Amino acid sequence: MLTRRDMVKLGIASAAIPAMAGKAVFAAPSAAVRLHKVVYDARIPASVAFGNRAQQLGAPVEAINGDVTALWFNDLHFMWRNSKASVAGLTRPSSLFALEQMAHLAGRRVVFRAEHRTQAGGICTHRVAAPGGFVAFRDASPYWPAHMAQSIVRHAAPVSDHMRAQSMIAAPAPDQNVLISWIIAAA
Amino acid sequence: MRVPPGVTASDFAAAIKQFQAIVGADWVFTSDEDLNTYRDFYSPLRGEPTERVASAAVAPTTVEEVQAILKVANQYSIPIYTISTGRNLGYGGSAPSYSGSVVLDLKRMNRILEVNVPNAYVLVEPGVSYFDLYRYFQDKGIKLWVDCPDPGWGGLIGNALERGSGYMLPGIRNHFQAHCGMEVVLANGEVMRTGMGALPNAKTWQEYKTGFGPFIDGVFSQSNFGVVTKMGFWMMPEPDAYLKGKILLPRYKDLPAFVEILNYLENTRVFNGTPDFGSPLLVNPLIADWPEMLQGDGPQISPEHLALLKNLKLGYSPELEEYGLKNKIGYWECSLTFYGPAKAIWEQWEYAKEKCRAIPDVAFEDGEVYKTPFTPEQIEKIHLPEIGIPSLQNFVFGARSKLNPNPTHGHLWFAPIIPRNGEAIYEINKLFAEVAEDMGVPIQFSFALPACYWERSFIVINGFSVTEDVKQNQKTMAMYTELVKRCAAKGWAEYRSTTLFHDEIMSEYSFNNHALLRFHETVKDAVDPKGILSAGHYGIWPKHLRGARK
Repeated sequence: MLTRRDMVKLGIASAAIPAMAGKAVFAAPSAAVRLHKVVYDARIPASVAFGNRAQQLGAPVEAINGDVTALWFNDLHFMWRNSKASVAGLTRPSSLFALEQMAHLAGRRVVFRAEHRTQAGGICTHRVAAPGGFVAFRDASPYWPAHMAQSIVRHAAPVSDHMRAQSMIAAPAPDQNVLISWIIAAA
Repeated sequence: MRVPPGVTASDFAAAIKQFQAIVGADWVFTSDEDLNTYRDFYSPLRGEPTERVASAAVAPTTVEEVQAILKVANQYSIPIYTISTGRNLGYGGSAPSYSGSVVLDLKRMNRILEVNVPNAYVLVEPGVSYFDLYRYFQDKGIKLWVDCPDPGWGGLIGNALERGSGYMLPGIRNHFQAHCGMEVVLANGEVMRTGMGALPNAKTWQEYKTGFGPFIDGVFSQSNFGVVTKMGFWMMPEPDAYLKGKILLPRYKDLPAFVEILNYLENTRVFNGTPDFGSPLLVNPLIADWPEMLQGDGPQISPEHLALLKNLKLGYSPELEEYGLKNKIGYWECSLTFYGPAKAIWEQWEYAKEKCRAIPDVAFEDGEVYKTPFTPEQIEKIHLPEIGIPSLQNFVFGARSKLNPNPTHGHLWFAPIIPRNGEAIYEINKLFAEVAEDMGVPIQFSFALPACYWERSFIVINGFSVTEDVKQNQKTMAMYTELVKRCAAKGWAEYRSTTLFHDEIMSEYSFNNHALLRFHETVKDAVDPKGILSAGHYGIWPKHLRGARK
């Protein structure tokens, strides 16, 4: 039997995110929410770096090759039935789009979504989804994937009110030069 | 709270209360937050005032609840828009055809009611997805294959009613054709069963399709005449073996002769899976190549080859053809799929090759015969829906790659049906090029190859990109409209489309002063006099909205 939350496939957290330009994205540890898995795309070096750092920090990791079918069918489908644990990742938008649709059917939402766009010259710009749009933040280091992994793993799930991101299912974003770091958690 | 058009706020509030009493307050959705889920994720109007949105959604679990909901809708003249699992990406998603309708979400009606293994059929409710049924078969060790589309997250009933398709045997992959018997709640709340299901205590509801008298199941597909609450489907028993072979055609002009052979081979059931066209020279891969592409970065293309792709006319240049001949790269390729006894399908492939040798310099790539049960290594090499495994793999190909350098925010499927002959393939590409030039909208592919999901005809499926640029989206929609008109002038029309174009497409089915549409409207007025069900779906409007729409 589905619950009401199974049916609520979208939601927008209402709390405002403080201005972030120049500040750390993860302002404070959230209430502990267990991280079931950190997902990375083995085809993408930045995503692999994200996964490696997450693993170093003790998080269980799983590689995909863009396709989330096996991850969902063999693992998350069951986990979402029995546990409130979160899932995080750094993937292409298309992978998140597919996973997000399945997550919403299980009453889970994307509670954190940051976009990392590689610009001409290899510079990566970052912005995090917030109610009303995106808010830019700085991380000029080439090690930004590791930094994102660290933030996400250490804080488990930034679902405290001030960090709760806009979780309306996004229209699929173009994949060109874009990666998304994300956390899916119980609604 | 949003209110449907033509309904007073007080009536709507009263209806919502009654919906809550029927299904429970938790299952009636009215907040913007909840209703966002019923938007069309691929809409070119996303965020625009003209975007089609729901005013509420209600999610029953039983036929009785559906009946009660329709009674309330009739009482207050509330427009209802029915969805099952609500996917339908590229065809309108779960957003209502008539903006402001209340979505009747049947996702909770998700019971697998019967599985008959010896005669290979199932009876399911609308919320049962391909993944659900596949998981059920796997868990119970049932050796039936479920034919599913890409992606496999949709529902059997919704996809069949929209006349979707999969990849396996002809009578199975045509999902509406694969159904056998339905249960429908009519607009007045009455429950009707079709085919043998009309017989009380029927023993053959899922075994014989047409019953006695008019076969009316078709009027509940791509329509708004009732709410289908159960459907039977024929499944494919796991075959002994699977084989896929490729035919490589060296010259641009080879299509007409090849299509004649293809038709003969299919119509005599020499092969029985979906034929799949591609073009190695134009770097247009087969669907069968997806598994290989998942493992790598797609086909390797030389700089010389890439340069030759820049100056083509309708996908052709003599230089490109010459390059292909010199390097043994096929202009066209087509894969044939065989399901059956291992020995037999190898012989059938040999026979297919023999027929194709009528084309000069044709070449072949033999596949391997895979016996069931497949090994994990074999499964990795197969496009999963072809062996009854639902998948989300196709989203990977929305990602940036050599083949898709500018991925977008989704797409609108434009899918005209054209004759099953080679000349028609060139002709429709000529039309695409002319319209693109006239409208100033670039076409993504230099040459569109047909899909062969249906027997006896081709579909040419183009995905028109949805972008963040409102003006670009408007141009794309204008081009879509123009293509609908100009295809119709050629005698071709679409089999299905995004809901935004239902009126335009239906208006082209205009033989004898729109006799077909007038018949639809006569039926609509008779079975749904208040016009509560899915107004405007497939261009069928209830009487009170018809005048304004024409």
